[in-house]
Amino acid sequence: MLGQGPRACLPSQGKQVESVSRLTPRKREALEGYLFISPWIVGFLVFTAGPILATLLISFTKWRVFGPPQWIGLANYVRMIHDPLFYQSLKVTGFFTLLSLPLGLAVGLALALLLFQDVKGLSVFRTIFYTPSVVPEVATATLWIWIYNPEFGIFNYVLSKFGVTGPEWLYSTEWILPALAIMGIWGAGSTMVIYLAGLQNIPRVYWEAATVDGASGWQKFWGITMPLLSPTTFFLFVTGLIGSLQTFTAGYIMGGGGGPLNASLFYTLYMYQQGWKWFNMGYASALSWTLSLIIFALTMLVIRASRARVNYDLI
Amino acid sequence: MKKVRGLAVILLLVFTASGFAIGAPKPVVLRAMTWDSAEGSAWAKAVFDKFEAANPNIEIELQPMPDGYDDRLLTSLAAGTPPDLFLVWDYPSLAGLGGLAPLEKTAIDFSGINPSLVEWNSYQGHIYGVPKDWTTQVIWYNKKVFDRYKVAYPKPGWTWDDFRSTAQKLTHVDDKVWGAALSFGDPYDWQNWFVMGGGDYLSADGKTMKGVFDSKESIAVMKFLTDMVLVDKVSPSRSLLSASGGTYAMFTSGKLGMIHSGMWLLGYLSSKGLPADDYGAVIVPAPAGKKPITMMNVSGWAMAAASKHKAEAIEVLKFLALEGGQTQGEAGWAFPVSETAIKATGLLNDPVTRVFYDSLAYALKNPAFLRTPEYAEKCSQYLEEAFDQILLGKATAEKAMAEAVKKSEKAFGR
Amino acid sequence: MRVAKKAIQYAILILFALVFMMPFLWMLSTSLKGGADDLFTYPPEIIPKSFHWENYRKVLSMYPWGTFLKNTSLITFTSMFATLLSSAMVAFGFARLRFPGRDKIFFLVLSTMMVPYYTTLIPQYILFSKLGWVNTLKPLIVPNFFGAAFYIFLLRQHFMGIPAELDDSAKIDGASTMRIFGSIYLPLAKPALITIGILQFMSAWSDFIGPLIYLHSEKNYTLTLALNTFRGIHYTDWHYLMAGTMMVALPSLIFFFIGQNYIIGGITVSGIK
Repeated sequence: MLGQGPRACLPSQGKQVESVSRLTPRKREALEGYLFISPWIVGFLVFTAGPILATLLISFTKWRVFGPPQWIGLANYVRMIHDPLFYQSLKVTGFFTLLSLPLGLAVGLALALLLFQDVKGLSVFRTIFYTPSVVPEVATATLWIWIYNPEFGIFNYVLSKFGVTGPEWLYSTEWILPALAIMGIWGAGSTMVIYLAGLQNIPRVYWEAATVDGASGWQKFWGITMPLLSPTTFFLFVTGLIGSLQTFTAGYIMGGGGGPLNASLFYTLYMYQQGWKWFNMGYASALSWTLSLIIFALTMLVIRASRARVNYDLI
Repeated sequence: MKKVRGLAVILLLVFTASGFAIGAPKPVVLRAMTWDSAEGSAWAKAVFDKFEAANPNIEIELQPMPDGYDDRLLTSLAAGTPPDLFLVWDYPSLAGLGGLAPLEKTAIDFSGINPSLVEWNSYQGHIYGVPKDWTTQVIWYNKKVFDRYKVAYPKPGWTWDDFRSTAQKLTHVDDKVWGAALSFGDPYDWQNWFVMGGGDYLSADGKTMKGVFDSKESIAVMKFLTDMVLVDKVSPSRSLLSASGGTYAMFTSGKLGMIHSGMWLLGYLSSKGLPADDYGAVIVPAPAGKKPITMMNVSGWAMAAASKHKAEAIEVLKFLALEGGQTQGEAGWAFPVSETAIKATGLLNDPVTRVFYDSLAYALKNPAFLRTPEYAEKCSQYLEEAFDQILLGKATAEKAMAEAVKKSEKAFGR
Repeated sequence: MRVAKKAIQYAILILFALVFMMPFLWMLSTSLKGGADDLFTYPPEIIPKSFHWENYRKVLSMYPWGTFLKNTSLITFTSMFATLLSSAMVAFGFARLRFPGRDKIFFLVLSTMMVPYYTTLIPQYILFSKLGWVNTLKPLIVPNFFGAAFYIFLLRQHFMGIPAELDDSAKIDGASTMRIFGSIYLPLAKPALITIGILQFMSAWSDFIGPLIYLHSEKNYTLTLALNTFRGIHYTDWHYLMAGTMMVALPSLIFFFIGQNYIIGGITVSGIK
């Protein structure tokens, strides 16, 4: 009954009373509800739903932006199936995700566990680990190009101190993706913070009880910590997966044209090249749509698989 | 009385002011985009300033765009807001997209310009650009490196075998000195070598690479070039070149004996304050018994087909055809385009810059990139891949080049 | 043995800390070097023999960084406030108001969190291109006025935690829905809003592909785009490039140091479950 007050009861209001009372409180609230969420609705239609549909439609055309689009049916998809660079970009993106996602989670977790022990100067360490993830990616990538310089960069210099001859990193077809994955670890601080939050949410009781029962650290970790962290891991895994499959900036800056022999031709980079370098908007849209389907399918798979493994009840 | 006079004065002022506002014509503002940095475009600014002084009703806003020039240009063309004037070298793709305005039947006078230069700024019979400057690519040699290992300076008329043995004699890996920089990063720079050897990148009509790039002549040239890197090891690796600050940095610090490049080295030297006397230039070597063919780099000023100020833009182009390149030529490291301007700069008197002019007579005819608008997408990227594969040791010359042809044919839909 | 264990822990922590700090030190060190001779030496000098602080002055003079800072700030702060306000509004609608289809629509909101950024990129680009907004800052600002799914989700959680009694007492006093939203819910959500604001700041400030495809004239560049261009020109002048990189990274770092309690606190409190 928002704002109705005594007004509706005054007969002398005449017409006003009529129009006000026509809107029942329920209807009024509903109207306000729609009003409040209207920004999202508009945004959704214009910037999300519309474009998603449009991408699908454009993928059925040949459109070079200069002229009108021409309908060509499934030709772009046929082209995609026969396009070796399409498979290359899938391979690159897939391999990179397989490499960097588990690594990022593991390092983030490890750092969180290290900081979770009562440590003096916790916030200092936490800041040190988190800060790199705050730096804009363009800056990080530029810095790491220099770090990875095979002759004069710091990485290979440190390796040489251990008697190892460092590889050519960004110039090598085998090492460019691992290079990018290692750079990604530098940003593991954001994962660490989320894991720390997850750890703090676990009631200490569980560990204490296990210690009393004589469980070892390892047993406590796998038996209590990991299962109870599973919602956090799940969240990080899904968001990490969606993000990793769309890696762009690192690939663009560190291997501009796709890297040596297209060894770092990420899917979104290939899409960008098709759309903004060659102006094959139709083909780029087909690539884009396919990526969305892949991400959607994988996410559904992960959610399915996690149902058995993620425990929400114990917390 | 005072009031009326005051009013009259005010009215007079108002009328005069509005008269100024209406009467004085607003200058037409043209946008001109270059791919040099702001410092590198200083010559363009000087030329435009000169033009503006003579044509007060036209203003030119210079837009330097050193990074992603092609992307920016294409995007602005697509969005319908291109600059009125811009630098072009890849005429076919832009002309094919309808972005360029033909210039041959306009007030621009091309007669004072070397026809080779005009050819490289045309496509399918239409002239699309006013050449802004040009350079041929020669072999630069570092005299100090040659002196250090007591090798004779190269002379015109030298052969490929001379080139190879010279490079070998100069290479001393322990001293971190190499004979030549052969990174083959851009296939563009090496087309003349393939043609000299009897091969080519693609057919003369630009329709296919088959039978041309994978011919035994082309393969032989590729083997010659890449063996120098893989077998003779006369060149630093690509990563080392890039990691050490680039070819010019290595060349000028005495780590390279020879490089295949254009007049831009002079610009680099002057920007770093290094003396030019330590370096010599010679026309490229040719296979025994054959004539040399030199690669050129020429670009020009083109006018957007969608420009809203075509008449004014033509005026600027007319001026550029006559005087444009002169200013850059005055900096001493690019040749102006008109013969009279060339003679006026005195570049012909210097024995080093003279080499570039003499090489012009041997310029490659009908360069590959001008043969088809799809060169970059359907040919050049596969050429690059072929070089990459061979240099990274992933394939033999025959295999890599056959692969490139296969991919190109596929891209053409065959 | 407790002591030994602790010692090992600290040792590992310090080692990791050093490893994490190393890139920053390397960046700083390189930015103070003199030129090709200092940069391309082996073994590399961790501490330069002379500190060339003037590199920063030189880099500042090479490029209109002030303009880039202005553009980036404009985009970031506008999008920050726009997204906060709109997300809060929408979240309030879902949290407190009843209307048909509310939960179904909210589910739709959640599902849009999974839509990859790159799916909508091309048509959005075409849309903005038809509107003539390409090469302006508008495409980077305007879409933020319509609420962001993730923030809507977080704020709705937060709002739902606010006792409904507060609403009721306000209604009795005759407050309109808008009043309740503005004078009760917004202030109570301040910590969450600050956290989200900071997250949005980080995201907008670092955005690269948006500026890459929409901004074409140098005068419209953001810091990230400018750094990329700068790298293209000076790709061998690592001392200048590192100085430039340092300058681009600095505002994010400063912002983080000021707001770190809110960020880390906010992430903890929102409890990813």
